[in-house]
Amino acid sequence: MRRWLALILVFTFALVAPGTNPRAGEGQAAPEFTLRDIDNKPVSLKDMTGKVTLISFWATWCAPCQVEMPHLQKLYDTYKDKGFMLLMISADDARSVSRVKPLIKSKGYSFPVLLDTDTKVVSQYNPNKTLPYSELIGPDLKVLWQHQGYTAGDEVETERRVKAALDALAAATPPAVAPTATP
Amino acid sequence: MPPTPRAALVTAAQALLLGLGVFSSGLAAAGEGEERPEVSVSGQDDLEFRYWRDDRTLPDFPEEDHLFDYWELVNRVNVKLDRGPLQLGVQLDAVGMLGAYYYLNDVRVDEFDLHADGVTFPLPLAYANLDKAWLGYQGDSAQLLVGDGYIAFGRGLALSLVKNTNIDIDSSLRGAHAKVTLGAWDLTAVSGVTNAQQVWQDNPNKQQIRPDHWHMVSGLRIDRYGLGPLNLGAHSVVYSFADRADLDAQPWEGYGRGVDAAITGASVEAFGVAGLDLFAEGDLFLYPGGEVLGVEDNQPGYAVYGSAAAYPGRVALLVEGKHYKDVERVNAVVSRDLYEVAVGPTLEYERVITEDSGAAVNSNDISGVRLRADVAAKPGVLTPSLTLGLFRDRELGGLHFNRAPETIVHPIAGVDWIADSVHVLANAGFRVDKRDDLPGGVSLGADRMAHVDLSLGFPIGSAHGEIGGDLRYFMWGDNLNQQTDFTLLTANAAVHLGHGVSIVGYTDWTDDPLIDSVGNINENLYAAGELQLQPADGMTFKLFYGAYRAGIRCAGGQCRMLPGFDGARLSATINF
Repeated sequence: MRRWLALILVFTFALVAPGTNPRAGEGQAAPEFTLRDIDNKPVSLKDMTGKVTLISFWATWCAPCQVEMPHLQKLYDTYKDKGFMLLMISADDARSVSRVKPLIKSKGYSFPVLLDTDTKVVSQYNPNKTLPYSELIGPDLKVLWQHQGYTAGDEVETERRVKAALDALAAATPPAVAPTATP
Repeated sequence: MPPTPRAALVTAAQALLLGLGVFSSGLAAAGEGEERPEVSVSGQDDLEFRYWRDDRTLPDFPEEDHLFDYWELVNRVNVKLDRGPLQLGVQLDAVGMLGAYYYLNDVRVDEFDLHADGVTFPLPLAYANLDKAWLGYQGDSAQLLVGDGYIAFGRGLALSLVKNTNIDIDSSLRGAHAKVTLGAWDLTAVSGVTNAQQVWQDNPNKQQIRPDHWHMVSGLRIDRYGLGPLNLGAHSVVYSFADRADLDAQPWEGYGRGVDAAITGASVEAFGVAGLDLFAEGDLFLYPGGEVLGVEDNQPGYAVYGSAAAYPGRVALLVEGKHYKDVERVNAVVSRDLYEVAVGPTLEYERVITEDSGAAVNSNDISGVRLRADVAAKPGVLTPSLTLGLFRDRELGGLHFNRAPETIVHPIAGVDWIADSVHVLANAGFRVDKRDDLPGGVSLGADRMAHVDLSLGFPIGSAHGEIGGDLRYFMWGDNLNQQTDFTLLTANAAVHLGHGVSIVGYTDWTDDPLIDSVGNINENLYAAGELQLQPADGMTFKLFYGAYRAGIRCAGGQCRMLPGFDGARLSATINF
């Protein structure tokens, strides 16, 4: 009986202890990475310093990911000129990566798409590899928000989070000095 | 002398402490007065608490006792510490069984032995394991990692040790990983031993906790980017597999064994050449110690894979081709532990891979081509597609049902329609595996399969509904595992109520006479329900009750036979 009790305690601790942080991951440094995009250009997370960045992990075989993508494209179109960056990281491994760019082209998406073919980055951000998976990263490259999965309506909360982060970024950025009027 | 569990634990603890020491002092080189990066601690906890129903009974025991029912707790904790460019991570896996015993004449009888030979733990029906640990450095021109990491070269033909949690596979390469970037050159080097997970996260663990089998893997890849529109790459990988006689060997002893397989290959990639994106890879497989892999006369194998994509107007065209000969043998030893070290693109639609077609996926003698065309009829909203797969599988025996080479034809038509609150993802196809006639004109006929996949999403007032499912109908030719024609139906319906609350119903129906599970409603019908909750960001709970059928599932070119389930399950995923 004592063995059972010990076992239950171990599992309970494993479950409850992490739960003491209700704002999961907030304020933690986002792991740095460098990946190539579908046009072969290297992209690093540190290049996003000073921007509000939404990282979204997806795959060609993930149906909820396909349903979420049009909403993310709209988000990108709306805020990309306001300090927002969207990095769509494909978790397709080496065996299905050839399908990534044709899928993006066939839908007419224009957001940046990065390739994580050896699953290193997705393993860092979301070890159980549930897709889709999103993290909102602040201008200081710290995590602002995490979200697992996608169901219809989730895009509303995503946009609210992005807008709040952009508002905070705008408030923290000193206004540009207006050019002196010339006579 | 084999390591004792205590010695292994002490070694792991020492490695962890060493890592912590390096980690905490890693920035000591930073100059006085420089701001030190903060330490971030984050992680993820995955817990499953499963109740397995089992209707078996024993003579003289009342049936209502449910003697063989038991509870299984499975937990996986990932914790990582980030400090500037340094990262330290660990993954702890644990499993415990409750109620997995009964009393016979006042003597306790455990229903099964959780630990295979070579695995010990202080508790008889529990096991915990520091499954992964790593220390990493991410610099501008160098990425270094010591411990457990994931790696793939090219299209995975020579080396592909990546996470595949879709089918409960998490095998890493434990050793040293380095990637150095020098201008337009990338140099990647890895060396270590395979580290397969010991605790299954989704599958029953009874009688499955096996000792680690340390297979040595060393590889080197060089990439040259930006030669005009071209990228060039070359790689070599050597494997030395621990045969059953080596199971007690220490991890580093793999370096003293002979090489069982050596693979060398090269790839070329071109972007936007005449409007085409091109990729080609060729690999040569040598088996100098091939007897452990079942290779006669050490004959070599080879693989060629290529893809071409074009985007004329609103059309996206993708053509992939492959020719694999004696390449699957490199997985012969590790497949006994239910994972693979090198898998190339299959070109097959994996959701409809069956026990029969799964053998073709892993064939040692197969050629194939796959064409897919997607049309942006309404960009981002409406995308119809056509796919055609053509294969010639010449391998016989083994898992193959066929006694003669077969030609496989598999057309699929699909459509994606994604509007604001409504979506339809659907496809339908028909696969024919036509066998060559035997000498004398004896016809073996053809295996055929018709299939439909469907996913619908739609609003229900302020809530949102989803219906999904797939239907497959099998018609069998003349094969060694002759089966009657049968149907497989899987369906689900979900209501997402908002505020992170969802209710899902599942059902399976099949009259497959060879299936390894029984329905909970009747022999053919399975039903289940699930409540899903997301009470906070990064926190998901699921409560499942009911049953689902057994069957093969494939992901990333790897296939596993997954058992059915009948019982209850609470699962939680918590990020912190």
